[in-house]
Amino acid sequence: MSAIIVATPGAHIDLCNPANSSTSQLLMRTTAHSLNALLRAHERGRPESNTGTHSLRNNFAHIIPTRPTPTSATVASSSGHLLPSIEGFVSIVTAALNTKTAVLVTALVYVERLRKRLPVSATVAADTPYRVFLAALMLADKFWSDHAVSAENFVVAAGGAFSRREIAAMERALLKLLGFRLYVSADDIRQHARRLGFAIDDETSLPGVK
Amino acid sequence: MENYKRKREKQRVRIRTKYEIIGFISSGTYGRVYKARPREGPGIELAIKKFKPEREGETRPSTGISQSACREIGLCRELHHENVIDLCEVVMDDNAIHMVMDYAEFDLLSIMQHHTQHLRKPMAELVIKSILWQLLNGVAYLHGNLVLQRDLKPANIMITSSGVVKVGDMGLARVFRRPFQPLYSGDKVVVTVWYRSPELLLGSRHYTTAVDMWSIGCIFAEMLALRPIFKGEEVKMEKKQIPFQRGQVLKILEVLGSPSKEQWPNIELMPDYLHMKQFRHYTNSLKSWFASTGLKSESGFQLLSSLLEYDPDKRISASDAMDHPYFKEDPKPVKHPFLEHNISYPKRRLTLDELCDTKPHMSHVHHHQQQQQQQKMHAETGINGSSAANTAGQ
Repeated sequence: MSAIIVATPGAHIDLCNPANSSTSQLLMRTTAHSLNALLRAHERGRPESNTGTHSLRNNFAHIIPTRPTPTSATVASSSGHLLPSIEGFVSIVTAALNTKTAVLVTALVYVERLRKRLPVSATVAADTPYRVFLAALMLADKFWSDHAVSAENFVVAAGGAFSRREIAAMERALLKLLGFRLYVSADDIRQHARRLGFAIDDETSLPGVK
Repeated sequence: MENYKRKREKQRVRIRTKYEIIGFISSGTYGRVYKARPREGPGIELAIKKFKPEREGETRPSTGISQSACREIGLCRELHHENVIDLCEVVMDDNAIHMVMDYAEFDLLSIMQHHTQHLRKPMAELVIKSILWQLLNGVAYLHGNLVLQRDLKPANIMITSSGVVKVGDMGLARVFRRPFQPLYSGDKVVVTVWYRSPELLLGSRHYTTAVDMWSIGCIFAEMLALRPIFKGEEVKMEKKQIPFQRGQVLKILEVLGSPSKEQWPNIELMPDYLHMKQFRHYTNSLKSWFASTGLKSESGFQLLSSLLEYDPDKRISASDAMDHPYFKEDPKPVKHPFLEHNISYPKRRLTLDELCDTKPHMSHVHHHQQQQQQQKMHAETGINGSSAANTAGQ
């Protein structure tokens, strides 16, 4: 028995299933969109005056490589690996890790929270969305799964573009940036689903509660 | 870049700048726990749980944040109740997560051990009842917030010096409401074996808040008898296969008798039901077990039976248990049993390690070596160092 998201066209997404079903494409696209918005914030916001958000900005700088790379057609990681489009990256990583939809939605919630907390003046490198995505997925997975995916598996799933050390640093930085708030409620999930054009099958009965 | 590094260094919250680390309390697979107090502000006592990174055996510190830290932080950030350990702050220092939490002078395990080893007399009924009620109160709050604790045992039940229960260690806890993943996943084993419910022992995948209630029943029984009611031998896991816990199931059968189909209609649907066939028939002897503890209350027996109910669907819930007649008869549970009845137990022993502030500020802080010597002496003489202990348990 698992909860089901009903997509508007009538398709069902089972939150307990791997996210790679055809209907989850929309979810993945939205995640990618959200991540790209991080990048756009950078293009728009630079170079802003400091607005008393030093701490956030500087913490964020910790996620990104030493200097911002100009946005160009192809994106390379700091180690020089060429990266696919962010959409492609999200799709490849979630397929490789057999990510559950609930985990991907939670990762998206974290990305959105990060976006709200970041100041406009945050400077962001071209490969930042990729790093943020990996970190968000790692934290979401650890929050929900009883057996977290190992860091090594994340390195492999990301095609070796980021080292284990880099991934670990991103994870720490993101956790800090999120103010250590990892809890995602059913309402959070519902809200996000609604914004994506999904409707969650509103089960009010709570199995297991007496 | 250098400038940036300096700036970052300046902003970094150093745990020791903000808190005075008074002493080291204990360690576990997750990391180490310290007693501390804020350097500024109120003179309160706090516990700091310092997590080590996942799989410390690895050469480089690049493996990531431990899962239990994520779980515990994620849940504790949102949970606030007088009978649940409160998380005050999380600090990242030296790439390690530090959880700054409520400090509790005792845990239930240490109190029960003090009774068996030093006082040699049972816990007072008022204390047992007050602790049980507060434990139910904390767990009812967790269950009301869709959180399963999943590892309730005496060592995880913190108690303040006045006798307030704080349910601790949420590292295994998780949210169970849809629309999330099913609770069962592969080979994960939850709940320490002595406190594990029959449905988990029989391989249930859809377990519920009732697993915590069984553990509470075991804890209630243990407070009465001062020894675990079902002290089974754990079968170790081999080749990632969950073994059938034969010894543990046998211990339960010996006291509660063989479960009938009337008692537990769905028992035949349990994945490991076939294992039950290897046991002979046992009759229920909980009544005589209960009588042997010396507690005379019939409603106390009824409550214990409702907690140790085989069928998870029939097992009493935390909120119903709080309204049980047992709590309405004398002695009635109180909020601060130790304070109100002038009961004291020896304080936690603290040692010093490299994280601690070097100058000991409290008389009961010992250097590690010194403490070891004392422990040795206690073991040899059987004399307990704390005289305050003798007034306990009235």
